[in-house]
Amino acid sequence: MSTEIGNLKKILLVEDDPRDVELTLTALAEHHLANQVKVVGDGAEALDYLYRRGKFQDRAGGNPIVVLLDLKLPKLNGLEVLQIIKADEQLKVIPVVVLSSSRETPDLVKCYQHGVNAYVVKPVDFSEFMRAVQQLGVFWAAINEPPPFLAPAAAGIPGAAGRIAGKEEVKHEIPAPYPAPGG
Amino acid sequence: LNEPGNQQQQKHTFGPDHRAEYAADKPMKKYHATIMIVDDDPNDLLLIEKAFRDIGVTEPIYTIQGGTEAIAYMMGEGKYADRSVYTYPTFITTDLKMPGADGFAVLEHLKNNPEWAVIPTVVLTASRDLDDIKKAYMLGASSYHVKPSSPAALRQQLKVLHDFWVTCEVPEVDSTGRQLHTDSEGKLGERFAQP
Repeated sequence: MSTEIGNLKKILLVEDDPRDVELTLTALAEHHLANQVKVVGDGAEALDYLYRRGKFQDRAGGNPIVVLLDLKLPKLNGLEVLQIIKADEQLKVIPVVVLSSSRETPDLVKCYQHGVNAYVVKPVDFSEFMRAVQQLGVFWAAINEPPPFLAPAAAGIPGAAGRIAGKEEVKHEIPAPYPAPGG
Repeated sequence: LNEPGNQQQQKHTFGPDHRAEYAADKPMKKYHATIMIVDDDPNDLLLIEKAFRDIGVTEPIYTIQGGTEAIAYMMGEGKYADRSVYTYPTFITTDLKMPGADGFAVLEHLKNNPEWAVIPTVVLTASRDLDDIKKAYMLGASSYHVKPSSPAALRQQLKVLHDFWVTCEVPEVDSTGRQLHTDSEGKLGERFAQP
């Protein structure tokens, strides 16, 4: 079933500019990846999605295979989101690719210091943009092995037994907004 | 500006030429781009390097046998002290299962050093073990790939891999391939402001 594959290979796109969202989805559609994309418009929503809280508390389990993260975002900016993901024992394994319009070196260095997996500057030229997004989509969806999903330790499922496929609906009760790091 | 020492070392000619088939669009855009392949198996080193060449990759490639040797290279130990010959890599692929320092040790070494942590380091291994995958990401692997067994599949995989990484930005490196110092933002800004 395509829905199962969709759940297993979700791409989380964190982007507030509707034009960039449209272009990205169009580019990914050429490789039939668009229906795997979950779009959120700001940093806070991205974290809600990853932590399955707020309006995402009922979403199916499983981590996205990659997070495509814009840097300039409302509420919580991309660098803050990156920092939170990479400081969290459960989330840090998720590949995060910064998609930025900034080539400024301080941004670049900070992202690497916080453990970004890759940093792509959005090409201004339309066809180059399309090509860059397609290459990125094929890379993360087709040839990269995504990290296994580990159920949060708070749910009391340790180690390998806690691994669940994305299609399985598993409810965890995590009262705190953030799972305890490493806990 | 091109790496003087690398040329003679890298001039292998291989059998059938698959370059026309793939024609890599453009080389990785950092200057002094240098690829390091770390693997304990000399056959794999040869096959991976050959596959990169077959798809039209023209950057210097260093094949390093084993994690211990790779760490010595990065540390500039022994012969590796000569950075005019042994340029810092700007992109690394590493195997996981190796005697001595394994791929995890290589990742740990690189990612604990701020200067090296910016070098994209991808895992290229035979292992599909979920614990290996998790551990590699925990240690900061940029991405994780299972080596295909056929040379044709390997070429395809490395083509996608190279196409993606050439579109990525990394901090610039100086003439010996070493990444520019990143202590203070202001200083860094100044250094990059020059035309």
